[in-house]
Amino acid sequence: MSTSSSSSKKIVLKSADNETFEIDEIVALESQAIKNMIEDECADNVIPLGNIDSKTLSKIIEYCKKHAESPKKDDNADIDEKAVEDLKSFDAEFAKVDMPLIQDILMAANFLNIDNLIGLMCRTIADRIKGKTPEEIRKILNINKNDLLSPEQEAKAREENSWAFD
Amino acid sequence: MKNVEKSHVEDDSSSFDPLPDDILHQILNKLIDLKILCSCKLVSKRFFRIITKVDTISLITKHTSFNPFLSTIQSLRKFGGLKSLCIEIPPPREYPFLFKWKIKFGNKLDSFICLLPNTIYDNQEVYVNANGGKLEEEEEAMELRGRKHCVAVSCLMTAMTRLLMLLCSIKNIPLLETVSIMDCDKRWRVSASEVKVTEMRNDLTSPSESSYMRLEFGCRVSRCYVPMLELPVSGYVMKGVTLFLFERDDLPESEFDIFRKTVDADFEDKKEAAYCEALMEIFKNHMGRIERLNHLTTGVDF
Repeated sequence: MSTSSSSSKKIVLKSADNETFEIDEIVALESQAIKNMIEDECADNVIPLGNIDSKTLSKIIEYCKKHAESPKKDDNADIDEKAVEDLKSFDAEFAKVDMPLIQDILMAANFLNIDNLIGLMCRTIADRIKGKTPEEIRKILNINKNDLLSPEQEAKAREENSWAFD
Repeated sequence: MKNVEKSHVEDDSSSFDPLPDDILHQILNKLIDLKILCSCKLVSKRFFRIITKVDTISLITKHTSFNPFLSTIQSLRKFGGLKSLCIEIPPPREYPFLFKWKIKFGNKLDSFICLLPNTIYDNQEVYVNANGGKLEEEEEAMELRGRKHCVAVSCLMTAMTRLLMLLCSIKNIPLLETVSIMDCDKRWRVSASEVKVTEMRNDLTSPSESSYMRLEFGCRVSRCYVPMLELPVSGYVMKGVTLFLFERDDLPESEFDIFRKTVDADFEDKKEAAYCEALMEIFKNHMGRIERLNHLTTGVDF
């Protein structure tokens, strides 16, 4: 409600491909890393994010905007259920993207230290690999072939697993 | 077009691998189900390594006897960071009565309450329809009385077995903070969390490292029969309700006063809530009907 007047301060983020995004400071504060930079006064007008491309960055800003607008859980014990539901369905929609983008978002969220977003992306990945075979999981996540278990290790692990399946 | 798509896929070939270990740990932590974790273990060397650090596991076993249970628990030791464990085991067997139990324990069993109604009705109307319009009090037949007593004792034995399984889990998994043992409909649930687990663990430290465990229970047995119980809050009516109380005999009766009157907050559904209300109702208004039976000494061991 009062956000527009009190937080008129703007922050500019610059992606790896040199696209700039001007956002309200309050939105940027969703990122613990940016928050620390601002508090330590080591943020210039423009914060360069050399490892995040513009596609990923705009998704992250979309997420932070929504979450910055929503009432925080610890602000008030009895925030209305509707806001919580609304945020939940936003999160569910937000996560409906392909795996490479999820991984990029996760990487960036980890760098920017946005806890909720890390949690959301981890949950999404977990849901997508649940009930899948190891081979399917490797495909879904595009696991590096150099990191596979040796046939002997795999056989041993399978044997160890047998107790879980009886 | 096809070429473009192909090169896009190759571009992303390593997008998962740069994610740090603690992110993978967070992902694996959300899987919980042991079977799923076991199949993830085979994905890669990194998965294999990080999977042992998950802190929550839930598993379903079809074993109710102790030796297979113990080997399951010992296999879980591989998960060195395990803090929270939920084990689903098959329900004991079909009982001829509806029941609800309530249990109080430390590293010993303190008290066990079980409630056995003959019939329960969703509301007064259903009750009246089923019973020909009259709300009458009937005495319990001797034969039924005997059968219920057997069921109550067998429920007690099941509870003790579950408690011993709980103790066994705490003993074998060093960092465990919460543990539940239940069956699929959660009725036969025994669980302990943080402070309680710590207390139980402290009491458990025995000089021998043997896996042998025994749980003994010497108790006063009391019984209370209420022919008809109307429950104003849930609206349910119960008919032929028998309550059995088993309370440790080396503790004064006053110890159990608060436990008897404590309302269970974690019921699963409306029916569970009605059972809890029935317990409260009996302790509030039907204490006069409670009769003391014989003492009972029993034990289970593994």
